[in-house]
Amino acid sequence: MRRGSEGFTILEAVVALAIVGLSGVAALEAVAGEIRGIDRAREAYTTAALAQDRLAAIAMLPIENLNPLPDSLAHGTFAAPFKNYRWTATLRPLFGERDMYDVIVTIDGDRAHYSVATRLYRPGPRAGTS
Amino acid sequence: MTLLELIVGITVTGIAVSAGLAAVAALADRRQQMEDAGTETARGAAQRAEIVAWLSGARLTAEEGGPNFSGLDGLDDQTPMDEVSFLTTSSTPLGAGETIIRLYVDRDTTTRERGLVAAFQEWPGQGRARLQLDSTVGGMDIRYLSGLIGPRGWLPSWISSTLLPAAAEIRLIAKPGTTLPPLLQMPILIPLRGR
Repeated sequence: MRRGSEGFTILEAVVALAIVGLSGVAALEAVAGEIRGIDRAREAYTTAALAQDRLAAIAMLPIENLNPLPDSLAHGTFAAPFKNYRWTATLRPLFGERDMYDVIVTIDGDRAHYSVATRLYRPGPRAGTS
Repeated sequence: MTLLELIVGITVTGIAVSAGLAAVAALADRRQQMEDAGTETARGAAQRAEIVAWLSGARLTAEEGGPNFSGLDGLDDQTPMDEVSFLTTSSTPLGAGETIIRLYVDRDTTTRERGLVAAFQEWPGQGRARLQLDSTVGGMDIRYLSGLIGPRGWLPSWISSTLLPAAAEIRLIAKPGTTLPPLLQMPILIPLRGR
């Protein structure tokens, strides 16, 4: 198109289309990021609840079965609808502290990894008590 | 601009706009699905945490006429319909004082609540409240772990004013034709202060 005539040059049209295209891509990427954020939050809720469940299972073990942890509590896969999630749990006596244990539960999913550490106080039988 | 150029331009623009709208629609659908799933998961997690907190705070009282820990084993047309009532020191909708909680499945059509319901009563006191936890719950099976009578094992019921079980496990069952949030499909395990 010649200078001074009505309308756009091809360069102006290409630049305008590029700006519109980039804006569209940016908007789509923002929505996609929001979706990923929702998914991550859902995974976090799930893995935290699964870890709490495993901690509860360890907390209700009788003292004589606590150390070492039975295989069924040390690692495994959750039942449906959480078949894609696995756990590992470790328990170690806390150095220098009587009846205290360090407990770590780790949950692994297809897209999630969550680890929670806590301490468990489980007094054993004392000498002279029945 | 010739007519041909105009037609080509309009066609290209139309294709680009259609593709963009399709992408936006697909993303919007996906976003809605994820948001629904996220809400269900958050709801399940919150309800599990509430039930665990209430039962973890279960305690007994030495006072005359005080509430028992009462876990009743029920069945309604092959569907477990257990309920449990206990005194808790955990915070409830009535506040931070001691409260008697009754956890049950409400099938009474004259009440507003449906499904899994928690009823609260101040103790001592007159304050009362009811809270619908999940309307899709159609049954509840609770068992209690104890080693007090023989080797450690799960018992279907527990009624005592002097002893708590070592743990409780709650399984919720969905009403026919409904689905529970995933985190409520998994049994809820709660260590208690008993043996």
